Amino acid sequence: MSSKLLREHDSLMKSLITTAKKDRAYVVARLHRRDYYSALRRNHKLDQTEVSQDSGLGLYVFTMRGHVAFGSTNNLTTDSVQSLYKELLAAARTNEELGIGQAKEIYELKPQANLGEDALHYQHLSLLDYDLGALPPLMEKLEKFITDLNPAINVSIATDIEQDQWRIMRSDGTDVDFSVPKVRVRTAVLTLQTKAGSAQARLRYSAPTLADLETQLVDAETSIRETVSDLERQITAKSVTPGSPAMILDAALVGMIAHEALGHPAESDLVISHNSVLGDSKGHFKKGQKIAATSVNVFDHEANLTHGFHPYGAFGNVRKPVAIVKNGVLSESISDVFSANKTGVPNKNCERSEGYWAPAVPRMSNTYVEVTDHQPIGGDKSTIAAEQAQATLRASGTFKKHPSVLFIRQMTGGQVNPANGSFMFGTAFVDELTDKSITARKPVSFSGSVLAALTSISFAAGDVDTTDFGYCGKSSQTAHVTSGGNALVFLEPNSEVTVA
Amino acid sequence: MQPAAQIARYNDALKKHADVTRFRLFLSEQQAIDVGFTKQTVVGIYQPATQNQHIVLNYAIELADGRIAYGKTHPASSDPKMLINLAKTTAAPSEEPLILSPATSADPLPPLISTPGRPNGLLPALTKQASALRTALLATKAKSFEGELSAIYSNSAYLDSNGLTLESEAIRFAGRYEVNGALETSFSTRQADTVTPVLLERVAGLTDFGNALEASPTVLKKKRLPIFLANGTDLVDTFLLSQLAGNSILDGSSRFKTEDFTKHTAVAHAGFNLPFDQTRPMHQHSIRFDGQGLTGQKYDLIKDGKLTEPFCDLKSATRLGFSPRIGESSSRVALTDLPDFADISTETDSFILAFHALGVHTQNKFLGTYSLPCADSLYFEKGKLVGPVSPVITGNFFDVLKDKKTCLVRHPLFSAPMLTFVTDLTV
Repeated sequence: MSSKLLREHDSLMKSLITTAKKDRAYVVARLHRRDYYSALRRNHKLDQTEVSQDSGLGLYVFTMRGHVAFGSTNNLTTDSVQSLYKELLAAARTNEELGIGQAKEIYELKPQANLGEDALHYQHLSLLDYDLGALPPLMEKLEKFITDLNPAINVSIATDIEQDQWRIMRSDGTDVDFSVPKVRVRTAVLTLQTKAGSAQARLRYSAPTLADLETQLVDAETSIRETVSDLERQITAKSVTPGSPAMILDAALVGMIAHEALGHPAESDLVISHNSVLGDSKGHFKKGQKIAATSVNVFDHEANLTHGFHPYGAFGNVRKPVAIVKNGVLSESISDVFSANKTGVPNKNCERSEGYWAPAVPRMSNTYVEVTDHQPIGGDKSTIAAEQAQATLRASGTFKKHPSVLFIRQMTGGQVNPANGSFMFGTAFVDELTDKSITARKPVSFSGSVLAALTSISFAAGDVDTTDFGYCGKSSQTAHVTSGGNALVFLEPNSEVTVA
Repeated sequence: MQPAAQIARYNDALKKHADVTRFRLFLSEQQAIDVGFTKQTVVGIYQPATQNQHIVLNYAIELADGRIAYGKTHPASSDPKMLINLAKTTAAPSEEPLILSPATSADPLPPLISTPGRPNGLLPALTKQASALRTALLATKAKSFEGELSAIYSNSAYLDSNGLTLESEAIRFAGRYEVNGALETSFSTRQADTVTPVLLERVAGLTDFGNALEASPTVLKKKRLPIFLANGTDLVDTFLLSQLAGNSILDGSSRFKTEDFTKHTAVAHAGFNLPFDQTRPMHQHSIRFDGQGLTGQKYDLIKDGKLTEPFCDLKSATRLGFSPRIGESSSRVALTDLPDFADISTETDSFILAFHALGVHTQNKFLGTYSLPCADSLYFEKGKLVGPVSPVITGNFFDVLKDKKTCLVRHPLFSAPMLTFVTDLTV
């Protein structure tokens, strides 16, 4: 079965592969089309909309000995593509003469069959077939919902629709394609300024279709009410005392630990270049090292059409699930064919590119912590998050050992130094919980050592929630990702994990 | 075909079309060459020898019914008729007419390329230079390093329904490397063959710092010290610059209001300035014009510690009543007569030299509070290196700005200014 998408470039691709064959060169040709629509609402009205369309080709050219050059163009004519190919072939041959830029592992990739045009791999919809006029009323409705709760809150909302189509072809006959649609409230900024102080929060939602996004916003009404309440409480809240308290985190923050603190160091290009705390001095992944309790697992995989989904790696083979930590032990790396063997892990085809112009590097998709033997969440679904956390801690007897626990939720961004394993996350809301009270605090910076945070996990409650999504930056590229974990995860105090 | 010629056919069609009242067109063609290197190799698979070509047409079209369409497309895959139809389908109502640039075709524009025309042979030239850099870094026996060299050639044209036409040709050479995941240096210029010599000069100095960081950690007893932070402009950008955009003031997401600028509210001590000069000939931070047809200018965002103006695009400038400017994304390009690190540090009894504060962008810019680990730092007393430390710096950046000891300083190993300020520490 061959691809269904981007067939208008068939003759261009055919001539490229034919030419490469004559030159005894091997090509990986990645066609990519992005259609994008954004709408911005500010000062109570639709302020601006924008449409963007771009198509291009990202091309790897390998010599028979595996020396490589990469290039791209969005001038998709046969002449332009052939000209690019010739320049890249010359560069690859020069690299061969110089003995540099070798990546012969490309020849280890087996030809990939097309997975087919099912709903998971083929959600192609022309941008203009979306009901673009439905986004402005959706934003208006969201703003009204928020300002009805508190008219003093200033709301600005950015929404977008992004449709990516990929077609990846190789000299070995591989021809695969997929399309991933995203309809998002990219960010809704809620700003509350009063005489007593100021606070700001951000909401975000992502879905594959407009109808799904509308449903998500309805389902989110309870949490939006909580966010508004949290904003109001934060105005007069006091700061926490810096230190290393007992903490309970929500799925979003646990997801940040999974993504920033474990996922990045697990990327095999960082392991092999000695820039990962999860790699040894020989550039091998520290497979087999125990780094957490037996009940703690960390995975990277997305099986559904969500923000981090992409079924094939950027070189065209099926992306496989990764068990970074299994039963508390380091197991697999986020790897690709070029670094898997060298780091001592299996190849999972985890390479990604932001667009046709970008070289592929190992990236995450959906990274989450799953603590087995987790407890049920305390309280019921209608109670607010802080009360649920308090009930969970009470039910587990935690308050007897730790009379005060910080409940930290929603992250505002994170960064990790994969080389030394230190992380820093910004957080949105904090409550100090005791058996009898819930007291709002100012947001904290949550930082420390990756491995210390993982070993501090003592128990979890609730099922895994991976709805939090974001934009991960690496090598000057952005990857769409999701992350998460059990609904609540408790961390014992650890001097290497701090809040301030 | 040159960009100006490519957009000329759109210009003709849009001017004649009965449904179009105003428009702006900006076409940009770019070729970028990148060559990466690591300790393991030059031009490996993750940083291959790369050649990217990209062309885009940005448009803003006001229709007779008052709606405005904004967008980007490829000029070859679109034609004027398609573009107008797309505009009609996607345009949205607007509070005001499409605003056009106040610039004129006679405005002086800085040259940004010494020899016109796309240069050839850059890929092999940069590969050779990357090899030389890698060889120098290998000799330091660093645990790890990675970097890249790049050259970006661009050719662009702007025109609008007022008849303003602008053209630009530019080239920029840049390079960076990072040692042991901690020490990063970078440099950019419009002159060929300048980047690598500068980066090579810095190898010895960075190696010395890298070796110093490997020593046994020192215990810091003081809870408050001056710090010289290599990525300190990230703090300025996160807490200050991001809130000086006209659109942030318009939509209420900035802590500042219009009157803070009209009344020149003091946000920093009187010696703190943030001026920008986008007009310097052949300077790496100069700009001829942007997609709105605004030309590069000199302006101050902060002067003598006071807010002077927000940086506004055409729309926010009109609504707020300020001059439109080409905005800057980072304070590191601010033009300012900076003192040298060597001079300031000798006046300071004890201080921390920090190469990187982790997670600056995660901090609450609205409140101004920061708590940032600085894992790779060195502690100095009376001008002498004591040893490596890993403090967490804490405080409120808006208080830091008011302290007269806060300033940007030049350091020979870093192209971006360092920021020095007195801060609380958690150790």
